[in-house]
Amino acid sequence: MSTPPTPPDQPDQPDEPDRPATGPTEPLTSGDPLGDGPERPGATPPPPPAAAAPTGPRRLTRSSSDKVLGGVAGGLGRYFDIDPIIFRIGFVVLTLAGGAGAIAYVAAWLLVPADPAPGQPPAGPSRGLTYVGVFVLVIAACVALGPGLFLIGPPLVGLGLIALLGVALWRAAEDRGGDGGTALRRAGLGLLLIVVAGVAFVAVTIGAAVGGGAVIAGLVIAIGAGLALAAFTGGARWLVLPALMLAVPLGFVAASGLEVNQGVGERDYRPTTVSELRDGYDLGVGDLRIDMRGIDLPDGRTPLKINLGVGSARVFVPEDVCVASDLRVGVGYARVLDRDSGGLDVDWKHSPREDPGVKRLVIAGDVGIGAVQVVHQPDEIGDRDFRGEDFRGRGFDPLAQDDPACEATA
Amino acid sequence: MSRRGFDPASLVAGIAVSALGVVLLLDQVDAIDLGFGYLAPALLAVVGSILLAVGLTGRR
Repeated sequence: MSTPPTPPDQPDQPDEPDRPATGPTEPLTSGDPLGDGPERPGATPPPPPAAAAPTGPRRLTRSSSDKVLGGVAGGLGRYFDIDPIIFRIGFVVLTLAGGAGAIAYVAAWLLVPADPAPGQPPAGPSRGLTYVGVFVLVIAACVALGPGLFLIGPPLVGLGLIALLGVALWRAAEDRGGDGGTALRRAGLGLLLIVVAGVAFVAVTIGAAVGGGAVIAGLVIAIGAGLALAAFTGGARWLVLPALMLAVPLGFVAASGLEVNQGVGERDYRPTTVSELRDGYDLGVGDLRIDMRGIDLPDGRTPLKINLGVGSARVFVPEDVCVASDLRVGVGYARVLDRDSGGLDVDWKHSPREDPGVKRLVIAGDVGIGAVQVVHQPDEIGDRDFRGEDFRGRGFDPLAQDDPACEATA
Repeated sequence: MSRRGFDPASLVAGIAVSALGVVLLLDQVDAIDLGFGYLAPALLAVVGSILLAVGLTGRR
């Protein structure tokens, strides 16, 4: 109690005009300084209800007295009446297991207001959301207008979605009110919702990848229309979550060009004559290997088409063949002989000069998520190429000297 | 159940979600080719618009 509280965010207005005045209320416990101001041990008895400060659902704020960084875990622990160390351990574990903990912590830091100062009303909740909304829109504009900022987009999409989910769960728990005895049940409900959301995310991704994308897009439109119509009868903001749960995985599948209805497994092709070459090699998920080193390709163009949903495609070509390539990789890595590129939306086109009398292999490839590599020998590919350890990122250099195999011999 | 009146945030969210759905549908019918370069700002714009609308109109 000796530590002065952190000054709160200044609310746009002391009271939200549209907050229901008759929401579920509960008496403040000794550990809950969130409703009418901070706890004051030894102070005079609380005034009668009629003279009390504005009442309403118990609110989550960042703790100013029990904090390591931003007071998020301290505030959560106080809100749910659980030891904050549990939340701290959770944040650390989730951070080490992929970084989600750090993202969630930062999102909560941004969205959850700090403890109100003594004598001040609780911080208004709308200002933080306004700031976050403006921030996300500015980033959206930067991502759209500046190719250099392209790669920072996807992590921010995840950050925005996590923040939105967190706000929704927070509001859902807050609106239900209740006392500390129901906190565990609410936390369990929140975790259940997250698990359900994760399962739904995977299910929608699979559904979109096997060809149900148009139906899912229609559902998104229908939910959006429902949201807009519901605005005139009080609103149905909760519909945003199912809409995004459908739209985000569908967008991911659409952007990556992911299609998994072409089979699953390993495919190893070793054609020895031109007639054994297929028109196209398709695989949904797995490892596709095409060894063309046993073929004596004729002079002129020989087309080769590859379509892979998720996985690794490797093409081994003879030393005397000039390779032209037109490759698209949604997420992953592309390599053609000594050039490579990786990341999102890899769009690779390379067409060496077409000299007469040259054996020319024209590769057209489309990979959703994964790697496509065209090399002469297997030892040019490391075992871990799919995860990008071999990625050198030199990209396509139009001034680079073409493969000697592309030059006509006298 | 009482009528709670007009909620601008739901209207903004509905329009944004519908627009995103239309873009996704156009990709599904091969009218456009959606890549991450377009998807990322589109998603960010939708999420940002919703957050902004909720923030400006107040939460219920």
